Amino acid sequence: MQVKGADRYRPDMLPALEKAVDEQAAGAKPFSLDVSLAVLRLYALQPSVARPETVARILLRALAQLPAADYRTCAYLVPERMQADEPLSSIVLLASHLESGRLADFWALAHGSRDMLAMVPGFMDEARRFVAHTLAITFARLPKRQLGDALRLEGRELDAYVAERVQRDGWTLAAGDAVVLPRNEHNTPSVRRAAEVVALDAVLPALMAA
Amino acid sequence: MEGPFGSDFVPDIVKQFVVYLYRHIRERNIPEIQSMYEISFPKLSERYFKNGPWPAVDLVSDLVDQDHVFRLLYNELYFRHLFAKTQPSLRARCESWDNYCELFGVILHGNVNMQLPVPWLWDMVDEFLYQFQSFCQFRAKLAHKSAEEIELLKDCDKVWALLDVLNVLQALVDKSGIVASLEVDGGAALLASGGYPANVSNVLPVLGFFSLLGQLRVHALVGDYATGLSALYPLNLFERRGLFTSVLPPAHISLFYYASFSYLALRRYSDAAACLNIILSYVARVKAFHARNAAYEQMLKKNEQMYALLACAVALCPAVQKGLDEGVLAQLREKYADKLARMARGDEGPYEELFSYGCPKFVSPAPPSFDNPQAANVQEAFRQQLSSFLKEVRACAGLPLLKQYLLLYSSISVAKLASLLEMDEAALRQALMALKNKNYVMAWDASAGNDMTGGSFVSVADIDFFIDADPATGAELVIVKEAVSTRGQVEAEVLSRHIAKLQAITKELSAQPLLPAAPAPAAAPAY
Repeated sequence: MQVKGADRYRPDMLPALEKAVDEQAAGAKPFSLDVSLAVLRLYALQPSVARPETVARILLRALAQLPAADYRTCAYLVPERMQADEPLSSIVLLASHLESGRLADFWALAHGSRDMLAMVPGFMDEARRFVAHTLAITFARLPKRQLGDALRLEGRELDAYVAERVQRDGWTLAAGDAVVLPRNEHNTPSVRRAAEVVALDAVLPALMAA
Repeated sequence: MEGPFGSDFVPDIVKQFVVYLYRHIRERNIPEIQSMYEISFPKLSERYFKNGPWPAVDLVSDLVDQDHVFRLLYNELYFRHLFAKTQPSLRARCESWDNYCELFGVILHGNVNMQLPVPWLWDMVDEFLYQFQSFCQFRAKLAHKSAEEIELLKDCDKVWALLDVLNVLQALVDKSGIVASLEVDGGAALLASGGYPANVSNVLPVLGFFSLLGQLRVHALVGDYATGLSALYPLNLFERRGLFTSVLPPAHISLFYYASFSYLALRRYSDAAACLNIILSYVARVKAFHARNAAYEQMLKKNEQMYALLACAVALCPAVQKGLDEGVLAQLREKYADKLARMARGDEGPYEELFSYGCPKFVSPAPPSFDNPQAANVQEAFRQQLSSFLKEVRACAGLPLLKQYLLLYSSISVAKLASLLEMDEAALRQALMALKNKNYVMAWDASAGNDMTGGSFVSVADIDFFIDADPATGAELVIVKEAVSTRGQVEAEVLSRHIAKLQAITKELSAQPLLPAAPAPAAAPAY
C-alpha cells in the first residue's frame, strides 16, 4: 500500500492503514515507513483511538530495519506516556540494547518477551541480521564462541547459521575455531593518514621560498 | 482593543495607503506594492498603530469597492500586525484562521490573476504557520484559563488543526503543479524570473513552492522528521544551483534550519553539519545587506540557534568538522569552545542548554485534555524531543574516553585495553560495537538524487578501528586505523591554506609593478 500526498492526512484512511500495518507485521507485505508514519501521525492527533498493539507492531518492524533509522523516525511520533507502558516499554528497551551493542541484555529481554515478539514473525532473524552487520563492521575475525554469544546461537543451530553464511555471504572458517568475516572498508586497515596531515604540495612553494 | 483614535476613526494617510495599495494591486505594479508592503506598512504601523490593531476591514471597504480579495489581503496584514503587537484573543485567532482559509481558497479555486511581491507570499506562508504554532501553544496553556474560556476553546476544534494546515499546504503544492515544474528544470525558470513568471499570476506557483518548505516545517514541529524531509522533493539541499530560496534570506534560512534540525534528530550528523555549514556561510555573506531590515533581528537569532545546533552535531560526531568552512569553524570555536570541551568530556549540561536554545518550538498534534486542565503541559512536545536527544547523548557518553585511549595506540590487545578502562572484556567489546554503530550513519549522496531522506551509509568516525584475532595465538587485538585527531587535521588544513594564501600575496607584492599606461616616449633615445 502506498500513501502519498493528501492521503497522508486523511483520518478516514486509518482502518485501511492499520490493516496494512498488520499485514506488514505478519510479513505478508514489505515494511513501509510512509504507512507506518501515517498511522502514528493519526494516532498522535487522536490519542483516544491509538491501539498500543498496532504501535508495537510498527515499532518492532521498524526496529527490524536497522541499521536504517526507521525505528528512531517512528519513535519520535509515539507519545512518551505511551512508551512508558507495556508492551512499548519493552520495545524501547530492546531497541536501546540492540543499538548500544548490549547484546546479552538484548537477548535476555527478547527471550522474556517472546510472546510479544511473536506478533512480528521473523523479528529474531532480522535482529540477528543486524547483529551480524555490527560484527562485520567491527571484527575482521572472531572466535566462533563469541559469535555464538552475540547471536544467541549454539551447537547445531550455530553451525547451521555459520554454514549458511559461509555459503551465501563469503564468511570463512579458520584455524582455532575462528570465523573470518568478509573484508569491507570498516574492518580492514586503511592507509594511515599520518603522512598527509599537511599536503606537502600545498606548502612546498613557501618552504622553497624561505 | 482600540486604536488611539477610537474604534471608527481612520487617519487620512491610512485611507490613502489603502487606496493606493488597492490600485497598485489592480494594476499589478510589483515595485509599488512591494515598497508599500515593505516600507509604508511598517512605517504606518509604527506611527499610528504601535500598540493596537489597524482599522477593521469594514471601515476601509468602501475605499476599495468592497473588493473581496483585497479585503482578504488587508485582513492578512491586519491580523499579522495584531499578532505581532498584541496578545490575540481566541476570537481573533479564529477570525484569522477563517481569513487564511478564505484567501487560500480563492487562490486555489478562484481565477486569481494578480501579482504579489515574493516576500509577501513568503510571509503569508510563514505567518500562517507561525499562527498555527501560536495557537497550539495557546491551546495547551489550560491552567490559566477560566472554565468559560475552556468551553469556548473546546468548540474551536476546527481552527488551526494540524491536518487542516497540512491539507492547505498540500493543496497549494498540488494545485500549483510546482513539483512537476521543478522536476523539469530544477527551478531554473522560477529563479530566472525572480518569482514573477511572464503573463501569468505568480501567486499560486510561488505559494506552492513555499508550501514545500511549509510542509517540512510543520512535520518537523511535531517530530515527523522523515516526512518533512521527503516533502521537500524535488528540492535538493546539496546541489543548490537554481534553488529559488537563495534570493530570499528568510525563506532560505527557514529551509536549511528545519532541514538541518531534522537531520540532527535522525542522527544524520554529516548531513546536518553540511546543511548548517551552507546556511551559516550564507548568513555571514548576506547579513550585512539586511542590517536595516525588519527581519534582521530574526536572522541573527536563527544564526545563533544554528550555531548551537552545529555545536551539538560536532560534539556528537567530531568528524563533521572536516567539512566546515574555515569561517564557520572559527565562529563555532569562538562561541562554544568551552562548551564543546565540556561536551567532549560527556558533560550533559551544555547539550541540554544548546538543544533547548537551538530547537524549534515544537507543538503537540493533539488538543490537550480539556477535562483535566491542570494536567495540560505546554512543554510536553518539547520535553519529549529533549529527552530523546539526551537519551542519545547518554548512549554516547562513555565513548569519548574510549576514543582517548584508542588515540594512543596503533594496536592494543582487548585484554590490555579492558584493564586500562577498568572494564571486563565483554563490556569493552560491547562499547566498541556501540562506537562502530554510532559512527555508521546515513548520509545523502548523489545516488539519492532529489530524495532528501536517501543516501548511503558511511563511517563518520574520527578514530576508526577494528578487532582482529591473531591466528596463531588467538589473542584479540584492537587495530586503530586512523590516529590523526580531527582537530589536528582540520587545523593543519587551515594552516596549509593560509600558507598558500600568504605565499600568493607575497608573490603578488614582490612582482614587478606594472607600469601605468603612460604613453611610451615617442622615440626611444638612441644610445
